[in-house]
Amino acid sequence: MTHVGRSVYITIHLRHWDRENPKKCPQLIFLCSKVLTLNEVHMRRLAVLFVCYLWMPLVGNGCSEDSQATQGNQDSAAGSSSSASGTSGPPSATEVGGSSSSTGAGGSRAATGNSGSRAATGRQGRYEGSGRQGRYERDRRQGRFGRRRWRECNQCSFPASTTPAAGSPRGVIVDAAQISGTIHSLQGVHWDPGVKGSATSNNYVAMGVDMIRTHDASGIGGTGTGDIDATGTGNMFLNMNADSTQESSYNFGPTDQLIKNILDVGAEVYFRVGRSNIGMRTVFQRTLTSMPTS
Amino acid sequence: MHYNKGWANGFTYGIKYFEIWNEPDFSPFWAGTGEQYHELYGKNRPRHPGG
Repeated sequence: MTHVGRSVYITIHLRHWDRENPKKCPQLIFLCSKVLTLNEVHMRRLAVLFVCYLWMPLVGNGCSEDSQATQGNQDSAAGSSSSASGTSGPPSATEVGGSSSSTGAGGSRAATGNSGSRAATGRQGRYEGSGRQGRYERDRRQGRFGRRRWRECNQCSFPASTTPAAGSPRGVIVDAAQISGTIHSLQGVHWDPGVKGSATSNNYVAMGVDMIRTHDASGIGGTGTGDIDATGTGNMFLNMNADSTQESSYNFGPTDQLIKNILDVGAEVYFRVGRSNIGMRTVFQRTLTSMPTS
Repeated sequence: MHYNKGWANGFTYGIKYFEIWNEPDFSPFWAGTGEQYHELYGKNRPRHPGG
């Protein structure tokens, strides 16, 4: 995954299953949020957890009861559902199991079709051995044994044309082993990195900052460096009544240094003709509109 | 002009990203009308003295 090694904000939820009303959509319980730095193992485990999480609500739609009816559609569903491709049909259980095992992640046995089959069979065998087959069927139909129902669900398939009901989750498969592109960078900042070798400059490099904005580079009410209008003495146009066509009207020195600092970090310059001094807006606007156009 | 064209003893950095004005839809930073902002943008888009 392209975001391996990056810090991400993770939110973990748990679905509460109402055994008295198993077809009711499970209630989402917020557990925690945390900033994690991902490595490859994290990503594989998250992918498996994500698949398991997405499959949970499908059980609540009466998967066990519908399994026979949808059995004939298994092949078409498996053929049409591809990972993260935006196809509308949910995947077959076989595909989910295969995806999980291909990532090599541990702790995903419950999500694999084979282990689910063993668990269900074992439970059913105990019923059979005690002569309670009828009771097993009744309990199964009534949605008891929530965990087992989920496992059984992994043996189910869903027709490719299944459309989620309004308000219900949509099945999406994330295959951590498949790289489809690079996440667009969101690592821009707007603070002066300082001269090359300074702490901020070094940290920007370490953080992978790739774009730095000039406006407010020293903050609102700061030196004004990078701004064309600010209260500080570092801004580029100190006298709003000066002739904007004359070189002598400009104070480029501090911003020259800022631009050099940005380039030394290896980042792109985002040059914003910005203002921090909101008290001089009228004069400033008149000055800018009189600037030379060539 | 100063940073890309060398105007006023400047540079030829080839800076690609320029933005004219900050928050022109927010009155503390722009007291004019939308038409005035477009006029400002048009005057400075080809060559801003800093660019």
